[in-house]
Amino acid sequence: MIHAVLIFNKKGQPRLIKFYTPVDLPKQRLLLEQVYELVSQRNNDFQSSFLVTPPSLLLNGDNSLNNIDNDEGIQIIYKNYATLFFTFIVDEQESELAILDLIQTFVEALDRCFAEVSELDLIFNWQTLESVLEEIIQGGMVIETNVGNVVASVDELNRASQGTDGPVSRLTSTSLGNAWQAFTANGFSHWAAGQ
Amino acid sequence: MTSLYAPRMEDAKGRLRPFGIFFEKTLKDLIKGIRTNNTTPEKLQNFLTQALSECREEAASTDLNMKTNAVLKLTYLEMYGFDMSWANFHILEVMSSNKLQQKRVGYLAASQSFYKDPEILMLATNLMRKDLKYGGNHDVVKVGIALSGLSTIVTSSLAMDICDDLFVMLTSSRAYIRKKAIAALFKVFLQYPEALRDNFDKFVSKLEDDDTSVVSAAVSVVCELSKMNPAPFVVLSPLLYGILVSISNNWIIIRLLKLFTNLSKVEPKLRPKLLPKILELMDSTVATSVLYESINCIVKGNILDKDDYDTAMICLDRLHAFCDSSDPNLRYISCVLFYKIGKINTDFISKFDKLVFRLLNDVDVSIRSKAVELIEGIVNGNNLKNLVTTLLKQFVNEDVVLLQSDSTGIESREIPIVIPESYKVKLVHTIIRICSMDNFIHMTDFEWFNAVLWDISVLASDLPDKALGFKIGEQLRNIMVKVPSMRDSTLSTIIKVISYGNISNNLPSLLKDCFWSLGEFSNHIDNGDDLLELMINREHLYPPEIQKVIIPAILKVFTNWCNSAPNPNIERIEFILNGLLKYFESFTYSKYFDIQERAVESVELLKLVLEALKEDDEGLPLLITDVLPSLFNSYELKPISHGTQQKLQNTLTVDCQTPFLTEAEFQAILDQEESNIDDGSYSDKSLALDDEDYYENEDTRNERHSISSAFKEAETESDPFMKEEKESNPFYLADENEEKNNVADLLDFTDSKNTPESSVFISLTKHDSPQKTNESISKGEKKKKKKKSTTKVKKRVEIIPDEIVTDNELLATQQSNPNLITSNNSSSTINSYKGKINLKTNTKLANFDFFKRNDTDSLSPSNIDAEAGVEDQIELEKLRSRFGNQSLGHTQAGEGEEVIVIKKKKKSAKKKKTSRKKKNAVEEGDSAIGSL
Repeated sequence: MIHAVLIFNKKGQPRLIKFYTPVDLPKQRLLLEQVYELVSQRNNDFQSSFLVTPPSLLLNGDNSLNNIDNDEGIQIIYKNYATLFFTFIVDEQESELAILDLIQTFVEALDRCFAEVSELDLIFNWQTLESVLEEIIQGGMVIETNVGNVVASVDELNRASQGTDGPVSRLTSTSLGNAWQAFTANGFSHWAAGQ
Repeated sequence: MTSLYAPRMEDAKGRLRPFGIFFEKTLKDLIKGIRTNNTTPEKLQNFLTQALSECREEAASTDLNMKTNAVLKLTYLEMYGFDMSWANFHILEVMSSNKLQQKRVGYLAASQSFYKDPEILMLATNLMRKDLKYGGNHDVVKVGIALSGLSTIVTSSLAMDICDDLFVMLTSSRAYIRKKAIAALFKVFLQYPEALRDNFDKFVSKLEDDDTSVVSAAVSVVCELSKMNPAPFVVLSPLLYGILVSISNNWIIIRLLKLFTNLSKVEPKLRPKLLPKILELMDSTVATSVLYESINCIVKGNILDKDDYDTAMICLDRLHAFCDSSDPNLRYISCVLFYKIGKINTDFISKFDKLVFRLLNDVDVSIRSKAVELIEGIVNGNNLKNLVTTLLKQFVNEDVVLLQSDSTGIESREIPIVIPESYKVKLVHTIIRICSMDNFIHMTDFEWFNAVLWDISVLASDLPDKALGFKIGEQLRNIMVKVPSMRDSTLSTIIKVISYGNISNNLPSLLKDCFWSLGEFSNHIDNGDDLLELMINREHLYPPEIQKVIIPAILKVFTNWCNSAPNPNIERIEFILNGLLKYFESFTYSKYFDIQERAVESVELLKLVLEALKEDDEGLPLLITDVLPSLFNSYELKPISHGTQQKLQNTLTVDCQTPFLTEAEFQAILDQEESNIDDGSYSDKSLALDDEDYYENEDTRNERHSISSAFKEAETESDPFMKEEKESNPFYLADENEEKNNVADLLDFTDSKNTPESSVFISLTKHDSPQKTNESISKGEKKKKKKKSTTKVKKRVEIIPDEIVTDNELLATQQSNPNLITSNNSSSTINSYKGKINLKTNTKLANFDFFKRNDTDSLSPSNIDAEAGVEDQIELEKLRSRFGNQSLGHTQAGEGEEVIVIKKKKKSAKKKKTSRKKKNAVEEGDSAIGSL
């Protein structure tokens, strides 16, 4: 089962925090900080995508050498895309390689939603990020691994939402985020520079 | 995908509010604000707090659009650590909106914030019940949203209520609904396992669905369920195998393999059937991930037998290839699997030493770190030195990675590999372990080991793990105790260690066993006076646990030194004594009671010694020659394995009931006592002493008399043995020579003071005498051993194994002991969980017995429903009144300024209204919520 999905940038700013297993808010923050600390120390050019030394919050008592024997092992698997880290916290029922594929699927789905996805897109379209993730993972279970299906479901959901919306919402843009794309491309470049 | 609130909405709002009096911001504004205010943490914090208070006001609005907007922002702000559970009630309102857009926002917020609030969950249950009524295709989206929500906030009462609807959804024509229902059912089963038992076939039939996503979801759910309670799924094995061979989707195959792993763990019969099929799959597949998971399944599912070398080699050869891959991920996980196979039988991996050496120098430190764990499997007498050298080199060498950029091929950059300290700590642990494992089975050269220990002591003094000191000290002590022939050279290492400033400053834990060894084996040291000066002349104060050890150690060294020289130099002894007294007196006010106690005892004892020394003109006083040694040298310590003593204690049964003496015996003794006193022989003695003397000295004197006489006996006994031993054993000579050589590096700081002769410090007579006196029985045996070790080419030194304490009862407890130990462990882990994240959820499923129909079910379900209904109703009423009050309380707590007081009244009135409305809504159901 997938316990949590954390997306943050190279400065440790959160872009999405999703916990499928209930965890107190302060601990969520602390975990994010610890994971960021560990992930940012690693060199993604030649190091593996697994956090070997787990953050102290997740250590189950003894951090002795034999914690590898522990079958209940929680794994932290991450992938780095440009300025963002996509981090999945999973238990031993998930295959490491499959999760890496899943992250790739996730990013591909985002890429398809945004044409060419960048961190800026995800910052300002946090809801999109949430809904794409929701179509891939539901309650910690993977429900869809096909990029086409994911994007189709997201589209359908959006269409339906707009269709039944009240008068105010009908005034909003109906083309999928196009207005946003344009807006972000023109208006926010100086924010990007500021980042 | 559109944003929920696109910019044009602002314009619309502007038109609606011509005077521009509106303060609500969209999520976009919020994000923009966060970005502009991101310059300093304080600025950001200010901005966020302000945004939060705005959200508070907006959330209280009657306008559902504004409320939704606020909830959406709050959901976003939760990412920055702002709790939004105070808004749960507003979230519930947004969830109940008829507009899908708002419903989505509400469910998203609910999934993040409802979990810890059982009361709001109860209110949400009613709403979700309604949302999950599946009315056909046009409801797909709404039901989809509700199903997602259900996956995060299902309660057992909701689970019970909703499961029938979910099973209906399993037959929906839309694959989207089917797969979402399956995923949601997982959470329902966790809360209400009866649902799975009663509808097992219906659920399992989804494993053969036409749609791959549905099959995938079903397999995932079965896999997760089987992890918690595998028993009911074993019957599915043939069906699952059918899917495994027919399906081409790698994702599903991997999940199936995981599922088989879970099943085979509990069903041994499955293993022989499964193995050939998995091997077949390994031959046919081209996907690395499937191949890897196949091996993983074989290993983790306990399918690999301890003596099944063929299968093991097939797996290991595949892994070997993976380990050479250029993908660090593949290298890493293969390395982990390698270790697991090695765990099953170390012989499997013993021939892969070359690979391990290669992995030890991997560019990725995390892979190195895994390879370090493999070392234990491949280590043997021949490669031990090589391995340790490789590991030690990593402390010094700075490796670099050459990265060749793919595009040009010419340009390359060097990146130094950062070796984290945790890895260094692990290296030290590993070195100690492989050197000392199985009672030094791989160790051929203890001189070399001494050098290694010295090296790692120096290295460890720069590392943060203070426990390393104990470990290294333990090794030094073990060699001292277990390898008699190495005592001298080990002592020289120990002296090097205690005189190295960096260690006593940074790693004092190492010194504990060092000082103990110095004291215990001080008879090997000739110039004990110099050693004593070294020990006490440190300005640096040792930590209390070291002080505790150093006090008796000093006494031992002093005793042995005084008695070692044939012509004692009284002045020198006096000088040293004064030094020691001064040193011990500094401890007599220690705040640690045990140190203080030891120090005071020692001071008193040494004062007596000093006095005796002054009185006695000829030679050494009896106090030094007899009394002091008798305190320490009664018998030699032997190694016993860790915990033996504790085990013995467990077997001890103390009878506190039976009196020692019968009534009659007691009386007899009392009578005798009386007559003794009448005789006066007892009291005379104490009366003779004057009071002062009595208090100060009586104990010691008595002790002196009794002990010294006992000791004299022992001494006379031991002397002939010593001589005999010396003459008959050729080993003595050889040993003496060897030790002479060692003297050079031993205590080299005293070289200038001592003539070579005086620094030849051996007195082998002493070396063996205490042993002999007390072990005269085993004397013959010992001698044989010694002779053997001399006749044998000194390839293998004698290592004393742990003493075996044979006791039937002990054996019994040893068998039962694992339980004891594990129970200890579990309690300690529970303690350490405090403050940690626990990702384990408690479910009813894990202990649910699927094969037993529950008797409580025989109660008519309608009855239960009715009861539950009534309870729910009461509960709801309570909640409503509570929430009404709560929303009031919140606004009051939120603002304290006077200006807002007027506002506040308004608001709270509003709140009351909305909450009342809300109540009505919940009571009246669909139509009322719609009108909100």
